[in-house]
Amino acid sequence: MSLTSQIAELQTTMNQIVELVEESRALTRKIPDSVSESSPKVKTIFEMSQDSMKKLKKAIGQAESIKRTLGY
Amino acid sequence: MNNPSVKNHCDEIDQTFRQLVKHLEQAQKLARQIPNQSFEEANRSVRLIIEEYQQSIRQVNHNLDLLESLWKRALGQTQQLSSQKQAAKGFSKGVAVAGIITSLGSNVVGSVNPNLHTNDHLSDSHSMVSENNVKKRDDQLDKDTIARNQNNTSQG
Repeated sequence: MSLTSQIAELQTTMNQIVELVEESRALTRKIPDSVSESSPKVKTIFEMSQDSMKKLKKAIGQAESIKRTLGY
Repeated sequence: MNNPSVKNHCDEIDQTFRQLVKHLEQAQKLARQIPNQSFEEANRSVRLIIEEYQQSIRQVNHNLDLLESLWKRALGQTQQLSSQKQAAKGFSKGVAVAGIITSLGSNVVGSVNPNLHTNDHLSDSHSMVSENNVKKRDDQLDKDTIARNQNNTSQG
């Protein structure tokens, strides 16, 4: 895979992470509006945070791969 | 607002998300610079991206702890929220196979792929996408709540 493609893939993962985090944040802000219905929201945010964690680790792997391609 | 403990938890989680977004945006900025950098500069940028993401992982972990506390203490839930947490924390660091440089030039990429810059506009559209996705999730959560309430009513 070319360096250009590797960087493009990393950027795609980055965008997915930002989207997940912004969604999680938006959902978090809605919790205090209706505490009685907050449990499902908390569960969803928890799962989205776990997804973010996986994608962050994937991004680190992609960045390390780029480093090796650069010869470092 | 009728539960200060819930609000305090949510404020702290939101604050951590805010810091997290800053780290992620910094990493995105660094990634956009790579195609126009020398190999040495690009290596430094990649190293910084990895540091930003390691810091981000610590913040996500912090939020997972806060969510767990919110779940148990503020909401009084007894059922486990953290069953998959250890699995997420222990997720093995996947390292992709190193690629081969196919173009060399004065900068790391030589001829820059125009697609690399097409992501710039995405940061502006993130909020809109997020709002739409949150609305969809909210709708689903509402349906789940209605179904659960109907079920409870029929049982009672």
